[in-house]
Amino acid sequence: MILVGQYKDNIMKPDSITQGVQCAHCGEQCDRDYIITNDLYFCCEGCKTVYDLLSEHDLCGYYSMDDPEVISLKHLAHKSMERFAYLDDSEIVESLLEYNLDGKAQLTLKLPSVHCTSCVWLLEKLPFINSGIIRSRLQLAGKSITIYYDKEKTSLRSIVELLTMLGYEPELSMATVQKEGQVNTNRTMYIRLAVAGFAFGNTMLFSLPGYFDEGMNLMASHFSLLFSGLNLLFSLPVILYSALPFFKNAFAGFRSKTMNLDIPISMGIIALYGRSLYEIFSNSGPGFMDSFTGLVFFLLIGRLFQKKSFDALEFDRDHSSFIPLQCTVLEGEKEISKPVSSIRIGDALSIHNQEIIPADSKLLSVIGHIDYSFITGESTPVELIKGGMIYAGARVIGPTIKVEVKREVSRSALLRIWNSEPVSKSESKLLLVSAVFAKYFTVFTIGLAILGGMTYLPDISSAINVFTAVLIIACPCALTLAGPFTLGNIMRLSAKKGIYFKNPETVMEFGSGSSIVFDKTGTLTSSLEGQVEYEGNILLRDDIEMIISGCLASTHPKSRMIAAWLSKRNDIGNLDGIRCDMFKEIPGSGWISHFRGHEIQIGSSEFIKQTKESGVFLSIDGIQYGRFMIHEGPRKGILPMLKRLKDDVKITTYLLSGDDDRHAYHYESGFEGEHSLRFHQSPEQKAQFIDALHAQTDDEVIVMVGDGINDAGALKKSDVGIAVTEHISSFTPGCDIVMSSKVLPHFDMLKNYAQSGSSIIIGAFIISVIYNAIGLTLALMGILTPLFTAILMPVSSLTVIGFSIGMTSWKARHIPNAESE
Amino acid sequence: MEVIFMLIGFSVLVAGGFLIAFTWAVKTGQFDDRTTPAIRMLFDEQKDEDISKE
Repeated sequence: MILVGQYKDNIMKPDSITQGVQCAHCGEQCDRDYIITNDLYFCCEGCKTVYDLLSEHDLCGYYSMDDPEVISLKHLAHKSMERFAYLDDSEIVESLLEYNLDGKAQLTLKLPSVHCTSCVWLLEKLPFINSGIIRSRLQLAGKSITIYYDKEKTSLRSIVELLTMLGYEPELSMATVQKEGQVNTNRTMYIRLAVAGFAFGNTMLFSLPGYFDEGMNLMASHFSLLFSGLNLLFSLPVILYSALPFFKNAFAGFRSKTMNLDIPISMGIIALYGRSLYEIFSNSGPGFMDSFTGLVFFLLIGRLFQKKSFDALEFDRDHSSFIPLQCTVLEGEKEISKPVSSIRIGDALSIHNQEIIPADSKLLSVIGHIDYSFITGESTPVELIKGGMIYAGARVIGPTIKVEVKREVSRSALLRIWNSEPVSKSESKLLLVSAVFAKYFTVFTIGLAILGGMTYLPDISSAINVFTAVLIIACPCALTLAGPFTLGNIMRLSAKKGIYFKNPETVMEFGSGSSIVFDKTGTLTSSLEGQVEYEGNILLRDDIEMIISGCLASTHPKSRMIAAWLSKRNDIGNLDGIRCDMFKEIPGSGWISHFRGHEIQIGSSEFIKQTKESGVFLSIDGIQYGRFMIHEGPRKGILPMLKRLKDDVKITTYLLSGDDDRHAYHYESGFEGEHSLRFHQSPEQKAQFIDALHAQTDDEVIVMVGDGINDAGALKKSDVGIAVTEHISSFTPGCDIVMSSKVLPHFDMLKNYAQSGSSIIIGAFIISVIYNAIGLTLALMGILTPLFTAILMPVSSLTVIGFSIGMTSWKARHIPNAESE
Repeated sequence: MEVIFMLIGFSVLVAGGFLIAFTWAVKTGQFDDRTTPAIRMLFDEQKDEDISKE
């Protein structure tokens, strides 16, 4: 136990109780109700458990890591591990396992809370804690862990419970189970690139002697046959393997009769290769094999850059990400944890506080409070009485309720919102533009090549020379590099700023957005703490539970906010046991409740103090304690941003809200007149509003900014759907862009930045057109040499890449970085 | 000058060897995660108390 002793020095010793102490596990300031064991202070039972667990297995070195950003476990202490009971179901376990043989099994779990070096250290030491785990390997970038374990000695459930106890609760939802083994396409990409690079290097080497004057260097002619042969050999895997994706895309374009830039590229590649073959076999020249391999190599680099997506983010979510994996089924008196997929109509379910209802059901309890904010955006919970219908996706607030399933999970109303429209978004405008461009480009190139060749007739060999030279040099390689590199770099830099794009096209679309529609609840306002403030006597844990008990019983939105804020701030996860004995609400004034023999009153100043002041006042047992100040306004910095968008950027902005118009006055300055503020909007109406905007204006690009599933329809309907999230790793509806709520105040800057992408691409186009013009002139004059091609092609590609990356980095310099979470 | 044939043969062999090694590395997933191994190699086996002194 030397380790513990050494580690103890790192903890701040309490000078006095008032100053507070730091928790030995998570380092957070302890509240009044800390736990002391062996001179160590813990903020909660959860942290103490983890500490004990670690010290028991001599793993306290964890705390002496440079920067252990340890996860606070306060909220976990109260959570029951019973909810993992469904992991005992062998069918579910089977579906999660990747490998299962001879009593050994392997699976990969997603751990959203993994974030630092200490996590790697601890999680890879799992075999020390649970001897059934043979090996654990963490992938920090993908936030996932691969665990190989002995099924005889341990079970999946105990592994998941262990992870949860350590503060890394795995993400387990229907989507995790349903997904098939994902093939890593990046791997093939790397190999293609490596083959092209290998061939490029070697062909360059063997082509070099051919570029010297043969009279000066006899060696060249002496070995020319060998070098040509080797070049031919090296070029084979490039054309047959590395260049395959371009041919495939071009062929797909032909078949669907849509033009894409891969068609002229494939034409260029084939011309280049064909002519090189001809020259080598006819012994008329060294061929262009080095240019050919180099071209494919550079094109593949561009493609890789384009393809690099963000591992940690998922953009295409469907309903299954929102539905939990398991739920509690009541069979007689017993509560049994069952997988959601096995729920049948008529089953009785028991749904606890904060749990999501998996299927449309009828309420069996006398009364129930249901939060539909996830579906409708309405932040006030709905009170239902026995027999009322509850729709899947709703969250239960307050006491546990019993429901009877009325519709199967797969036929719930949640799904109807999701599937109300076929997922086909109007085809990306960028694709259309590039298709048009590709069409003209191809026609122009072929035309020029034929014309150029014709002028040399009847000299057939010169004519063919010029014809192929034009096709080769006009190959839009620099053009195709400009897009991926500019947009790819914008994506990369934007990710640092806290905004994540689904793909390069989205960057363009976002930049060209001309109307922006904002959702209010959760997007412009924050549902997290910070909006409620308390001033007055210090609240003890008992006091807090007293207040929460009453607030939960009340249906007033302000009570709800206070309860949410208090439980969040003090990490009271399980509100089940907190139920008041007596509750009386006086509409318009406040409420009185009894809890463990105390009387709590909360309400307006008239109600509590007989004075007129703002805020929600609190009195316990007749003693005035203090007041809660509730700010339901928009997030900080939102209004100036909206103003800038409206006045400087000249963009039409709209506000949609599922809420009532109580707080409309906050937003009037940020939007253009009354017609752009819309309240009482259902999810369907939100989607219809986007449709209406589309109908008004044909060529406008509509951006929808929202959160929650209540915006899912509108996000899908819009040209660019942006999901705002408090934590990048938490889940968001299907969308094109995921944005951290922290960066919303400089939304306008990000939009301008995305917009600069198109001008940078145009700049890069101009550069490559200049190079092409030089090359084409030489090609038409019939004096294009392999040496010149070998130099011009890489130089033009490199200039374009340099320009794109340089400009995008320069433009990003003013945008503040998002604070790391 | 015939030695060139041999030299070229060797150079292609060596370069090809690297290509095969790289392909193998990619196929066995060594490029899937490039951050964690860099962190992992800094951990000492068992001797935990030394870490803080680094």
